Amino acid sequence: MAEDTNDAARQQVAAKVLETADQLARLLKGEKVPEADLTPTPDALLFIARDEQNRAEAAIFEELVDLVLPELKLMARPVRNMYATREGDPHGDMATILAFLGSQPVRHQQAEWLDVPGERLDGLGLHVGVPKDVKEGETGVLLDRDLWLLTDGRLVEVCCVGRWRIVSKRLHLQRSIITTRVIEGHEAVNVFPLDGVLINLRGYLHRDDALMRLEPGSNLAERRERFDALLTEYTRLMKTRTEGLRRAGDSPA
Amino acid sequence: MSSDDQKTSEEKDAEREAVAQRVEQTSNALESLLKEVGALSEGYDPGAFDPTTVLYDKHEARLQAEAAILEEACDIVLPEIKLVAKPIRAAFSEPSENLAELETLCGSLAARHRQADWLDVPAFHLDGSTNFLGAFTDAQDGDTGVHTSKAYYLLVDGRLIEVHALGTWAVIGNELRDVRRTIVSSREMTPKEVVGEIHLTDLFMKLRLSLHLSLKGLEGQHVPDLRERRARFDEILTQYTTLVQRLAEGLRRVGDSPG
Repeated sequence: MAEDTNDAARQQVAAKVLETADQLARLLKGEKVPEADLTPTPDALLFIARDEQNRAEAAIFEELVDLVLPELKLMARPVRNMYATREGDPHGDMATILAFLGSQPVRHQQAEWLDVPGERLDGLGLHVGVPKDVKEGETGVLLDRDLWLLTDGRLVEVCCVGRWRIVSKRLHLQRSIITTRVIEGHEAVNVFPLDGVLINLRGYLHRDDALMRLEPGSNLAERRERFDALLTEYTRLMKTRTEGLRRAGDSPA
Repeated sequence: MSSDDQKTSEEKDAEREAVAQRVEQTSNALESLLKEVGALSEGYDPGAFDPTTVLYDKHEARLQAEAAILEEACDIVLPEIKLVAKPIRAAFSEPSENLAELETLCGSLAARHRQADWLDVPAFHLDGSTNFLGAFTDAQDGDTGVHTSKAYYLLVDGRLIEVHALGTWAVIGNELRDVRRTIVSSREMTPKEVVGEIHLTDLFMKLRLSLHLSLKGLEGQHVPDLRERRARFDEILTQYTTLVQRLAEGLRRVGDSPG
């Protein structure tokens, strides 16, 4: 069962089911039922188009992921390391948080892929209120949802919950993984905006550090070229789309 | 030295220029030093063209164009939304077992955010969901866990609001129970921020639904120019669908291009 179900789509399906059930009941009673209108509604057509866009984006994303994997392997660190509390909250109580999280997160924290090296491609983080309107001693919640690319090519989503506190103008964090799962490319590009992910991915091909000079991946120049060719074409499509959006917005009411 | 407020715009410009020159000189000196110690290869060119800068610009332009469309779409549906809107706070009031413990855990800032005035203004739910984080996939009898919620609302006064919530669930027998939840943050958003967070497709689908409500409560209510507004909404939606279809075709061609 999908956990992030679109409400509008769900309501539409529910309405359609009720309508069909009603027509069936009337048919069984021998009543005449008008023929169903099978013309797709404008929003149904949009839903289909969006699904096609998602699949096409996923195909490009997966090729770009393959292009950067050799360099990613040089820099990757186990996923779990990222979530170790680096700055403990001297006034906090981690036991309270762990008790609050419940039994299921404990199992998720044992996922084998958390010990596989990876790089974080994107994150949808929420450090509530930080840093715009916080005061000394203030406390709050953080909710993070991260996308990881493992060195074996798997894509992993990690969600964590935690607390923060401002002590002597410094942010102290406590957080813990609550769920993690392996996801497909189309799920990744649906949740994490592709533009940001592509910008991060390109960075792995263009780092000029000691590791890359000592152990360059094979065909680096060709892979860079292919990556930029795909990225440039993708950007061109985005430009065309934006021009179209402006025209749609400017059309006479 | 005079304070910032007392400086003329020319003085401020001269200071900015001086700082920019110092930054460039420092950057060049640093690059030479790194090359001297072998930390940068000769072929490395930090000034080489980076196509992601163009992508970033196009991303911003797309968000602005989508925001303009969202604003018009919201204006179109506002008369119907006013008839069915309910305060946001009501959506987060149940269930509430051991709510005080949860609220304490969420901290002082969350407590302030729960006092936001807009939570009591009637609103229409635009998008969002509660993520039960594995409860549906691998939870067993007796398991407990956490859920997070993110929701976007259009208030009857036209403001756009984001709400985040946190709560817990429990599996008892075959039943998944939503035990408690509380709002942990809430903020007013611009249309551009909203389209940066939610696909315009999802917003269109929910907004269109509001123009086609057939609730009994709407009978006899005054909804001006409903037919015209429905037609305009579908016109925008159809144009947008065409753009998405073309984009999908273009993306497929890019993906199929020889490597």
